[in-house]
Amino acid sequence: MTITKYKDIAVRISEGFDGDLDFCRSGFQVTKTAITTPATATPTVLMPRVAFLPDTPTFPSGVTGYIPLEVNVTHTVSLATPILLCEMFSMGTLNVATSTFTDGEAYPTVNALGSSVQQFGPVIFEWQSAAPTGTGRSITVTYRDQDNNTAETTASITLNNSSSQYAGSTLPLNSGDIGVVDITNATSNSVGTGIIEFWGFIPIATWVATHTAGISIPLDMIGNNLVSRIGANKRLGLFQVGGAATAGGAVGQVRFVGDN
Amino acid sequence: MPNPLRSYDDHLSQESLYGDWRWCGTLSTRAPSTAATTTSGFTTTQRFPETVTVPTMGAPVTRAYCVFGAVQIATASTFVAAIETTLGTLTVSGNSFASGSAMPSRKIATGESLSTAATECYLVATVALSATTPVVTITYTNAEGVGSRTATLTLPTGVAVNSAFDITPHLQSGDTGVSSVQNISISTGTAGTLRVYGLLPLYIAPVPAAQGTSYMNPSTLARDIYGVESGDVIGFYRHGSTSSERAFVHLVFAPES
Repeated sequence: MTITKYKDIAVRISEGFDGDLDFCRSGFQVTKTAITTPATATPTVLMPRVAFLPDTPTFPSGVTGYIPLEVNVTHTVSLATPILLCEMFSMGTLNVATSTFTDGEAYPTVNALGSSVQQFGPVIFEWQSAAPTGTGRSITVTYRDQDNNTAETTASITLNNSSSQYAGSTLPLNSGDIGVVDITNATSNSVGTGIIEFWGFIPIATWVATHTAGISIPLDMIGNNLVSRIGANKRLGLFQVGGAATAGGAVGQVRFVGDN
Repeated sequence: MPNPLRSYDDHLSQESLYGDWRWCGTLSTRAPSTAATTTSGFTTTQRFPETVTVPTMGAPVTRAYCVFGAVQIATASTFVAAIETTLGTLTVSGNSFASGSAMPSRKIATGESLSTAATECYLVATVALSATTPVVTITYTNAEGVGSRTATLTLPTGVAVNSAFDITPHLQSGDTGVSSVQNISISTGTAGTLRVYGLLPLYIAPVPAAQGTSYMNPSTLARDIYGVESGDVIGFYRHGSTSSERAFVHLVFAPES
Protein backbone atom coordinates (compact mmCIF):
# COMPACT_ATOMS: atom_id res chain seq x y z
CA MET A 1 0.00 0.00 0.00
CA THR A 2 1.07 3.55 -0.67
CA ILE A 3 1.34 5.71 2.40
CA THR A 4 -1.01 8.61 1.79
CA LYS A 5 -2.39 9.10 5.28
CA TYR A 6 -0.85 9.38 8.70
CA LYS A 7 -2.59 6.22 9.87
CA ASP A 8 -1.08 4.32 6.92
CA ILE A 9 2.26 4.59 8.67
CA ALA A 10 0.90 2.70 11.67
CA VAL A 11 -0.63 0.11 9.34
CA ARG A 12 2.69 -0.46 7.57
CA ILE A 13 4.52 -0.72 10.88
CA SER A 14 1.96 -3.24 12.12
CA GLU A 15 2.64 -5.25 8.96
CA GLY A 16 6.34 -5.27 9.76
CA PHE A 17 7.55 -2.81 7.14
CA ASP A 18 9.63 -0.70 9.50
CA GLY A 19 13.28 -0.77 10.41
CA ASP A 20 16.29 1.19 11.62
CA LEU A 21 19.64 2.26 10.32
CA ASP A 22 21.81 2.40 13.41
CA PHE A 23 25.11 4.13 13.72
CA CYS A 24 27.62 4.05 16.49
CA ARG A 25 30.70 5.68 15.15
CA SER A 26 32.29 9.02 14.80
CA GLY A 27 33.93 10.91 12.02
CA PHE A 28 36.27 12.64 14.40
CA GLN A 29 37.23 11.06 17.69
CA VAL A 30 39.88 13.72 18.20
CA THR A 31 39.76 17.42 17.51
CA LYS A 32 40.52 18.20 13.91
CA THR A 33 41.20 21.21 11.76
CA ALA A 34 38.78 22.03 8.98
CA ILE A 35 39.90 21.35 5.44
CA THR A 36 39.74 25.08 4.72
CA THR A 37 39.03 28.30 6.56
CA PRO A 38 36.32 30.67 5.32
CA ALA A 39 37.76 33.69 3.56
CA THR A 40 36.32 36.65 1.71
CA ALA A 41 36.89 35.20 -1.74
CA THR A 42 36.14 31.65 -0.64
CA PRO A 43 33.23 31.72 1.82
CA THR A 44 32.36 28.27 3.11
CA VAL A 45 30.16 26.70 5.72
CA LEU A 46 32.08 24.21 7.82
CA MET A 47 30.57 20.74 7.58
CA PRO A 48 32.38 18.26 9.81
CA ARG A 49 30.95 14.81 9.51
CA VAL A 50 29.17 13.46 12.56
CA ALA A 51 28.82 9.89 11.41
CA PHE A 52 28.43 7.56 8.51
CA LEU A 53 25.29 5.54 8.16
CA PRO A 54 25.07 2.16 6.52
CA ASP A 55 23.66 2.34 2.99
CA THR A 56 19.94 1.78 2.78
CA PRO A 57 19.29 -1.90 2.12
CA THR A 58 18.00 -3.46 -1.06
CA PHE A 59 14.22 -3.22 -1.12
CA PRO A 60 12.54 -6.24 0.40
CA SER A 61 9.44 -7.59 -1.26
CA GLY A 62 6.56 -5.15 -0.96
CA VAL A 63 8.72 -2.04 -0.53
CA THR A 64 9.54 0.57 -3.20
CA GLY A 65 10.78 3.38 -0.99
CA TYR A 66 11.90 4.17 2.53
CA ILE A 67 10.20 7.04 4.37
CA PRO A 68 12.26 8.28 7.34
CA LEU A 69 10.11 8.73 10.43
CA GLU A 70 12.58 9.77 13.10
CA VAL A 71 16.25 10.52 13.49
CA ASN A 72 17.95 10.46 16.84
CA VAL A 73 21.50 11.50 17.64
CA THR A 74 23.35 11.38 20.93
CA HIS A 75 26.68 13.19 20.86
CA THR A 76 29.37 13.06 23.47
CA VAL A 77 29.94 16.81 23.34
CA SER A 78 27.48 19.68 23.62
CA LEU A 79 26.59 20.94 20.17
CA ALA A 80 25.57 24.48 19.36
CA THR A 81 24.91 24.02 15.68
CA PRO A 82 22.36 22.00 13.76
CA ILE A 83 22.78 18.52 12.38
CA LEU A 84 22.02 17.73 8.77
CA LEU A 85 20.81 14.31 7.67
CA CYS A 86 21.15 13.95 3.93
CA GLU A 87 21.29 11.60 1.01
CA MET A 88 24.81 11.73 -0.42
CA PHE A 89 26.38 10.95 -3.76
CA SER A 90 30.00 11.25 -4.81
CA MET A 91 30.66 13.92 -7.44
CA GLY A 92 34.30 12.98 -7.85
CA THR A 93 37.71 12.82 -6.25
CA LEU A 94 40.90 14.81 -6.58
CA ASN A 95 44.36 13.44 -5.94
CA VAL A 96 46.19 16.57 -4.80
CA ALA A 97 49.62 15.03 -5.31
CA THR A 98 49.07 14.49 -9.01
CA SER A 99 46.26 16.99 -9.64
CA THR A 100 44.18 14.16 -11.06
CA PHE A 101 40.41 14.50 -11.01
CA THR A 102 38.18 11.45 -11.27
CA ASP A 103 34.66 12.40 -12.19
CA GLY A 104 31.63 11.13 -10.30
CA GLU A 105 27.89 11.71 -10.37
CA ALA A 106 26.07 14.95 -11.08
CA TYR A 107 23.11 16.12 -9.03
CA PRO A 108 20.21 13.92 -10.14
CA THR A 109 16.87 14.87 -11.55
CA VAL A 110 14.14 14.28 -9.01
CA ASN A 111 10.37 13.99 -9.13
CA ALA A 112 9.19 17.13 -7.42
CA LEU A 113 6.11 19.31 -7.70
CA GLY A 114 4.69 17.10 -10.41
CA SER A 115 7.67 17.47 -12.67
CA SER A 116 11.15 16.15 -13.32
CA VAL A 117 13.40 18.72 -11.67
CA GLN A 118 17.14 19.06 -12.16
CA GLN A 119 18.29 19.19 -8.59
CA PHE A 120 21.18 21.41 -7.51
CA GLY A 121 22.77 22.23 -4.22
CA PRO A 122 25.93 22.65 -2.19
CA VAL A 123 28.96 20.39 -2.37
CA ILE A 124 30.82 19.16 0.68
CA PHE A 125 34.49 18.46 0.16
CA GLU A 126 36.55 16.50 2.65
CA TRP A 127 39.66 14.41 2.79
CA GLN A 128 38.91 10.87 1.75
CA SER A 129 42.38 9.76 2.78
CA ALA A 130 43.19 9.35 6.44
CA ALA A 131 46.55 11.11 6.62
CA PRO A 132 46.92 13.86 4.04
CA THR A 133 50.08 15.88 4.35
CA GLY A 134 51.58 19.00 2.90
CA THR A 135 52.09 22.70 3.39
CA GLY A 136 50.77 25.31 1.00
CA ARG A 137 48.25 23.14 -0.78
CA SER A 138 45.50 24.73 -2.81
CA ILE A 139 42.86 23.62 -5.27
CA THR A 140 40.40 25.05 -7.77
CA VAL A 141 37.17 23.40 -8.82
CA THR A 142 35.28 23.79 -12.07
CA TYR A 143 31.52 23.40 -11.79
CA ARG A 144 28.24 23.99 -13.53
CA ASP A 145 26.07 26.24 -11.39
CA GLN A 146 22.42 26.06 -10.36
CA ASP A 147 21.32 27.14 -13.83
CA ASN A 148 23.50 24.48 -15.48
CA ASN A 149 25.40 27.28 -17.21
CA THR A 150 28.77 26.87 -18.87
CA ALA A 151 31.22 25.56 -16.31
CA GLU A 152 33.10 28.10 -14.23
CA THR A 153 36.07 27.82 -11.91
CA THR A 154 36.23 28.79 -8.27
CA ALA A 155 38.82 31.08 -6.80
CA SER A 156 41.86 29.28 -5.44
CA ILE A 157 40.90 27.46 -2.23
CA THR A 158 43.63 27.23 0.38
CA LEU A 159 43.76 23.92 2.24
CA ASN A 160 44.78 24.03 5.86
CA ASN A 161 48.10 22.40 6.53
CA SER A 162 46.95 20.27 9.43
CA SER A 163 43.50 19.48 8.11
CA SER A 164 42.45 15.91 8.27
CA GLN A 165 39.80 13.39 7.43
CA TYR A 166 36.07 14.17 7.89
CA ALA A 167 36.49 17.87 8.74
CA GLY A 168 34.90 19.05 5.52
CA SER A 169 33.41 22.30 4.28
CA THR A 170 31.00 23.37 1.60
CA LEU A 171 32.64 24.23 -1.66
CA PRO A 172 33.01 28.03 -1.89
CA LEU A 173 31.14 29.08 -5.02
CA ASN A 174 31.58 32.18 -7.09
CA SER A 175 29.61 35.26 -6.10
CA GLY A 176 25.89 34.92 -6.78
CA ASP A 177 25.91 31.15 -7.18
CA ILE A 178 23.70 29.20 -4.80
CA GLY A 179 24.32 25.66 -5.94
CA VAL A 180 26.03 23.21 -8.21
CA VAL A 181 24.62 20.79 -10.77
CA ASP A 182 27.90 19.09 -11.67
CA ILE A 183 31.62 19.23 -11.01
CA THR A 184 33.48 18.88 -14.27
CA ASN A 185 37.06 19.24 -13.10
CA ALA A 186 39.29 19.97 -10.15
CA THR A 187 42.97 20.75 -10.01
CA SER A 188 45.58 21.18 -7.31
CA ASN A 189 48.95 22.85 -7.13
CA SER A 190 50.42 19.33 -6.83
CA VAL A 191 51.79 20.01 -3.37
CA GLY A 192 51.63 17.38 -0.65
CA THR A 193 49.43 14.32 -0.61
CA GLY A 194 45.83 13.38 -0.03
CA ILE A 195 42.64 12.58 -1.87
CA ILE A 196 39.66 14.90 -1.63
CA GLU A 197 36.14 13.64 -2.19
CA PHE A 198 33.34 15.93 -3.37
CA TRP A 199 29.87 15.08 -2.10
CA GLY A 200 26.58 16.32 -3.45
CA PHE A 201 23.64 15.92 -1.14
CA ILE A 202 19.89 16.27 -0.92
CA PRO A 203 18.65 17.26 2.53
CA ILE A 204 16.39 14.97 4.49
CA ALA A 205 16.36 16.85 7.80
CA THR A 206 18.10 19.71 9.53
CA TRP A 207 17.31 20.22 13.16
CA VAL A 208 18.26 22.17 16.19
CA ALA A 209 21.00 20.37 17.97
CA THR A 210 21.78 22.68 20.85
CA HIS A 211 21.90 20.21 23.65
CA THR A 212 23.83 18.88 26.56
CA ALA A 213 26.39 16.21 25.89
CA GLY A 214 25.00 12.74 26.13
CA ILE A 215 21.35 13.72 25.90
CA SER A 216 19.70 12.56 22.71
CA ILE A 217 18.28 14.99 20.17
CA PRO A 218 15.44 13.35 18.30
CA LEU A 219 13.43 14.73 15.42
CA ASP A 220 9.97 13.61 14.41
CA MET A 221 10.12 14.03 10.66
CA ILE A 222 6.50 13.63 9.56
CA GLY A 223 5.37 15.92 12.36
CA ASN A 224 7.73 18.57 11.02
CA ASN A 225 6.62 18.17 7.41
CA LEU A 226 9.82 16.40 6.40
CA VAL A 227 8.53 13.72 4.04
CA SER A 228 11.18 11.96 1.96
CA ARG A 229 11.21 8.75 -0.03
CA ILE A 230 14.68 7.26 -0.09
CA GLY A 231 15.78 4.65 -2.58
CA ALA A 232 17.63 1.38 -2.01
CA ASN A 233 21.42 1.31 -1.63
CA LYS A 234 21.60 5.03 -0.91
CA ARG A 235 24.33 6.54 1.22
CA LEU A 236 23.16 8.73 4.08
CA GLY A 237 25.32 11.10 6.05
CA LEU A 238 25.13 13.21 9.18
CA PHE A 239 26.98 16.52 9.28
CA GLN A 240 27.32 19.28 11.83
CA VAL A 241 26.32 22.42 9.94
CA GLY A 242 28.66 25.31 10.67
CA GLY A 243 30.27 23.49 13.56
CA ALA A 244 33.80 22.85 14.67
CA ALA A 245 35.21 19.36 14.38
CA THR A 246 35.67 18.86 18.08
CA ALA A 247 36.54 15.56 19.64
CA GLY A 248 33.63 13.30 20.24
CA GLY A 249 31.51 10.44 19.14
CA ALA A 250 27.91 9.95 18.21
CA VAL A 251 25.39 7.16 18.37
CA GLY A 252 21.85 7.03 17.13
CA GLN A 253 19.49 5.76 14.54
CA VAL A 254 17.24 6.70 11.67
CA ARG A 255 13.92 4.91 11.72
CA PHE A 256 12.14 4.16 8.45
CA VAL A 257 8.93 2.72 7.23
CA GLY A 258 8.75 0.96 3.89
CA ASP A 259 6.37 2.48 1.34
CA ASN A 260 4.95 0.78 -1.70
CA MET B 1 -8.00 21.10 -4.31
CA PRO B 2 -5.69 19.19 -1.92
CA ASN B 3 -3.66 21.63 0.10
CA PRO B 4 -0.63 20.18 1.89
CA LEU B 5 -1.08 22.66 4.71
CA ARG B 6 -4.53 21.39 5.58
CA SER B 7 -3.44 18.20 7.32
CA TYR B 8 -0.64 15.68 7.58
CA ASP B 9 -2.78 13.36 5.49
CA ASP B 10 -3.03 15.90 2.69
CA HIS B 11 0.70 16.48 2.78
CA LEU B 12 1.49 12.75 2.67
CA SER B 13 -0.99 12.25 -0.15
CA GLN B 14 0.30 15.16 -2.21
CA GLU B 15 3.90 14.11 -1.66
CA SER B 16 3.16 10.56 -2.76
CA LEU B 17 1.53 11.80 -5.97
CA TYR B 18 3.76 14.71 -6.99
CA GLY B 19 6.80 14.87 -4.71
CA ASP B 20 8.04 17.56 -2.36
CA TRP B 21 10.88 19.78 -3.51
CA ARG B 22 13.64 19.40 -0.92
CA TRP B 23 16.33 21.95 -1.43
CA CYS B 24 19.29 23.46 0.39
CA GLY B 25 21.90 26.04 -0.50
CA THR B 26 24.67 28.20 0.84
CA LEU B 27 24.60 31.99 0.96
CA SER B 28 27.29 34.56 1.57
CA THR B 29 27.77 38.28 1.84
CA ARG B 30 31.44 38.82 1.28
CA ALA B 31 31.77 42.22 2.91
CA PRO B 32 30.02 44.15 5.69
CA SER B 33 26.90 46.07 4.75
CA THR B 34 25.80 49.50 5.95
CA ALA B 35 23.59 49.95 9.01
CA ALA B 36 20.19 51.58 8.68
CA THR B 37 19.36 54.91 10.28
CA THR B 38 16.12 56.60 11.28
CA THR B 39 15.96 58.13 7.82
CA SER B 40 16.74 54.90 6.03
CA GLY B 41 14.52 52.11 7.27
CA PHE B 42 15.33 51.97 11.01
CA THR B 43 16.04 48.21 10.96
CA THR B 44 19.47 47.17 9.77
CA THR B 45 19.03 44.62 7.04
CA GLN B 46 21.27 42.75 4.68
CA ARG B 47 20.33 41.00 1.46
CA PHE B 48 22.19 37.88 0.37
CA PRO B 49 23.09 38.21 -3.32
CA GLU B 50 22.06 34.62 -4.10
CA THR B 51 18.55 33.76 -5.18
CA VAL B 52 16.82 30.52 -6.13
CA THR B 53 14.18 30.14 -8.82
CA VAL B 54 11.22 27.85 -8.19
CA PRO B 55 11.31 25.06 -10.79
CA THR B 56 8.64 24.36 -13.36
CA MET B 57 5.73 22.45 -11.89
CA GLY B 58 3.85 19.71 -13.69
CA ALA B 59 0.07 19.61 -14.05
CA PRO B 60 -2.07 19.42 -12.03
CA VAL B 61 0.29 21.07 -9.52
CA THR B 62 -0.25 24.80 -9.56
CA ARG B 63 1.65 26.02 -6.58
CA ALA B 64 3.64 24.82 -3.60
CA TYR B 65 3.95 25.84 0.01
CA CYS B 66 7.05 26.16 2.12
CA VAL B 67 6.32 23.60 4.81
CA PHE B 68 9.70 23.46 6.50
CA GLY B 69 12.69 25.72 6.88
CA ALA B 70 15.99 25.58 8.68
CA VAL B 71 18.93 27.94 8.64
CA GLN B 72 22.37 28.14 10.17
CA ILE B 73 24.05 31.53 10.53
CA ALA B 74 27.14 32.27 12.54
CA THR B 75 25.96 35.50 14.15
CA ALA B 76 22.73 36.45 15.86
CA SER B 77 20.14 37.84 13.49
CA THR B 78 16.71 37.21 12.00
CA PHE B 79 16.62 35.34 8.72
CA VAL B 80 13.94 35.78 6.07
CA ALA B 81 13.25 33.80 2.90
CA ALA B 82 10.68 35.46 0.69
CA ILE B 83 9.21 35.55 -2.79
CA GLU B 84 11.09 38.48 -4.25
CA THR B 85 9.86 40.81 -6.97
CA THR B 86 12.08 43.43 -8.58
CA LEU B 87 9.87 46.52 -8.60
CA GLY B 88 12.40 48.89 -10.16
CA THR B 89 16.09 49.69 -10.57
CA LEU B 90 18.03 52.93 -10.41
CA THR B 91 21.47 53.29 -11.94
CA VAL B 92 22.93 56.19 -10.00
CA SER B 93 25.05 57.38 -12.88
CA GLY B 94 22.68 59.42 -14.98
CA ASN B 95 19.85 58.93 -12.47
CA SER B 96 18.55 56.28 -14.84
CA PHE B 97 15.43 54.34 -13.80
CA ALA B 98 14.37 50.99 -15.23
CA SER B 99 10.91 49.62 -14.56
CA GLY B 100 10.44 46.28 -12.87
CA SER B 101 7.36 44.13 -12.36
CA ALA B 102 4.32 44.76 -10.24
CA MET B 103 3.77 42.55 -7.21
CA PRO B 104 2.29 39.21 -8.31
CA SER B 105 -1.21 37.85 -7.84
CA ARG B 106 -1.72 35.07 -5.35
CA LYS B 107 -4.57 32.85 -4.33
CA ILE B 108 -6.23 33.61 -1.01
CA ALA B 109 -8.26 31.35 1.24
CA THR B 110 -11.48 31.80 -0.74
CA GLY B 111 -9.75 30.53 -3.87
CA GLU B 112 -9.67 33.93 -5.54
CA SER B 113 -6.48 35.23 -7.06
CA LEU B 114 -5.77 38.76 -5.91
CA SER B 115 -2.98 41.22 -6.51
CA THR B 116 -0.56 41.44 -3.63
CA ALA B 117 1.27 44.38 -2.18
CA ALA B 118 4.63 44.19 -0.51
CA THR B 119 4.38 45.01 3.15
CA GLU B 120 8.08 44.31 3.29
CA CYS B 121 9.80 46.39 0.67
CA TYR B 122 13.51 47.12 0.52
CA LEU B 123 15.82 49.53 -1.28
CA VAL B 124 18.95 47.47 -1.88
CA ALA B 125 22.38 48.54 -3.08
CA THR B 126 23.21 45.86 -5.64
CA VAL B 127 26.31 47.90 -6.51
CA ALA B 128 27.97 50.03 -3.82
CA LEU B 129 27.36 53.78 -3.68
CA SER B 130 29.91 56.47 -2.93
CA ALA B 131 27.61 59.47 -2.49
CA THR B 132 27.37 61.47 0.73
CA THR B 133 23.94 61.12 2.39
CA PRO B 134 22.00 60.90 -0.85
CA VAL B 135 18.25 61.42 -0.78
CA VAL B 136 16.30 58.77 -2.67
CA THR B 137 12.74 59.38 -3.78
CA ILE B 138 10.55 56.45 -4.79
CA THR B 139 7.29 56.99 -6.63
CA TYR B 140 4.93 54.06 -6.14
CA THR B 141 1.40 52.74 -6.29
CA ASN B 142 0.08 51.75 -2.89
CA ALA B 143 -1.75 48.62 -1.79
CA GLU B 144 -5.10 50.18 -2.66
CA GLY B 145 -3.97 50.94 -6.21
CA VAL B 146 -3.49 54.66 -5.71
CA GLY B 147 -0.54 55.93 -7.73
CA SER B 148 1.82 58.91 -7.52
CA ARG B 149 2.66 58.19 -3.89
CA THR B 150 6.21 58.96 -2.75
CA ALA B 151 8.61 57.57 -0.18
CA THR B 152 11.78 59.45 0.68
CA LEU B 153 14.85 57.98 2.34
CA THR B 154 18.12 59.69 3.21
CA LEU B 155 20.78 57.01 2.95
CA PRO B 156 24.05 56.88 4.89
CA THR B 157 27.23 57.95 3.15
CA GLY B 158 28.95 55.33 1.06
CA VAL B 159 26.38 52.57 1.11
CA ALA B 160 28.00 49.15 0.82
CA VAL B 161 26.80 46.46 -1.55
CA ASN B 162 24.01 44.19 -0.22
CA SER B 163 22.78 46.84 2.24
CA ALA B 164 18.98 46.82 2.38
CA PHE B 165 16.85 49.70 3.64
CA ASP B 166 13.24 49.13 4.65
CA ILE B 167 11.02 51.47 2.68
CA THR B 168 7.86 50.73 4.64
CA PRO B 169 8.42 53.23 7.50
CA HIS B 170 8.85 55.97 4.92
CA LEU B 171 5.72 55.32 2.87
CA GLN B 172 3.33 58.20 2.48
CA SER B 173 1.04 58.63 5.47
CA GLY B 174 -1.67 55.98 5.63
CA ASP B 175 -0.05 53.57 3.19
CA THR B 176 0.67 50.01 4.27
CA GLY B 177 2.24 48.48 1.19
CA VAL B 178 3.60 48.89 -2.31
CA SER B 179 2.12 47.18 -5.34
CA SER B 180 4.41 48.71 -7.98
CA VAL B 181 7.10 51.36 -8.44
CA GLN B 182 6.97 54.00 -11.16
CA ASN B 183 10.23 55.85 -10.52
CA ILE B 184 13.32 56.04 -8.36
CA SER B 185 15.58 59.08 -8.28
CA ILE B 186 18.60 60.13 -6.23
CA SER B 187 19.79 63.59 -5.22
CA THR B 188 23.49 63.07 -5.72
CA GLY B 189 26.11 60.53 -6.69
CA THR B 190 27.69 58.90 -9.71
CA ALA B 191 28.37 55.35 -8.61
CA GLY B 192 26.19 52.43 -7.67
CA THR B 193 22.90 50.72 -8.37
CA LEU B 194 19.78 50.69 -6.19
CA ARG B 195 16.96 48.24 -6.62
CA VAL B 196 13.57 48.08 -4.94
CA TYR B 197 12.47 44.55 -4.01
CA GLY B 198 9.00 43.67 -2.82
CA LEU B 199 8.80 40.63 -0.55
CA LEU B 200 6.16 38.06 0.30
CA PRO B 201 7.73 36.25 3.27
CA LEU B 202 7.80 32.46 3.28
CA TYR B 203 9.99 31.65 6.23
CA ILE B 204 11.17 33.85 9.09
CA ALA B 205 13.65 32.43 11.55
CA PRO B 206 15.08 34.03 14.66
CA VAL B 207 18.70 33.01 15.07
CA PRO B 208 19.31 34.14 18.62
CA ALA B 209 22.84 33.03 19.37
CA ALA B 210 26.21 32.82 17.74
CA GLN B 211 26.51 29.70 15.62
CA GLY B 212 22.84 29.19 16.24
CA THR B 213 20.09 27.92 14.07
CA SER B 214 16.38 27.91 13.91
CA TYR B 215 13.88 25.66 12.28
CA MET B 216 10.17 25.76 12.13
CA ASN B 217 7.15 24.39 10.43
CA PRO B 218 5.39 27.34 8.79
CA SER B 219 2.00 25.68 9.17
CA THR B 220 2.33 26.29 12.90
CA LEU B 221 2.84 30.00 12.44
CA ALA B 222 0.00 32.44 12.71
CA ARG B 223 0.85 34.54 9.68
CA ASP B 224 0.20 34.75 5.98
CA ILE B 225 1.47 31.90 3.89
CA TYR B 226 1.92 32.50 0.21
CA GLY B 227 2.16 29.72 -2.30
CA VAL B 228 5.11 29.77 -4.65
CA GLU B 229 4.59 29.30 -8.37
CA SER B 230 6.87 28.22 -11.21
CA GLY B 231 9.50 30.84 -11.91
CA ASP B 232 9.11 32.69 -8.63
CA VAL B 233 12.40 34.05 -7.34
CA ILE B 234 13.17 33.42 -3.67
CA GLY B 235 15.44 35.95 -2.02
CA PHE B 236 17.16 35.81 1.34
CA TYR B 237 17.60 38.56 3.93
CA ARG B 238 18.70 38.94 7.49
CA HIS B 239 17.97 41.63 10.03
CA GLY B 240 20.10 42.93 12.85
CA SER B 241 23.65 42.65 11.63
CA THR B 242 26.02 44.25 9.15
CA SER B 243 28.80 41.71 9.33
CA SER B 244 29.81 39.68 6.32
CA GLU B 245 28.16 36.34 6.75
CA ARG B 246 27.68 32.82 5.47
CA ALA B 247 24.51 30.81 5.82
CA PHE B 248 23.16 27.36 5.12
CA VAL B 249 19.46 27.20 4.34
CA HIS B 250 17.19 24.19 3.92
CA LEU B 251 13.65 24.62 2.60
CA VAL B 252 10.95 22.12 1.71
CA PHE B 253 8.06 22.91 -0.62
CA ALA B 254 4.95 20.72 -0.78
CA PRO B 255 2.71 20.72 -3.86
CA GLU B 256 -0.89 21.83 -4.13
CA SER B 257 -3.00 20.63 -7.02
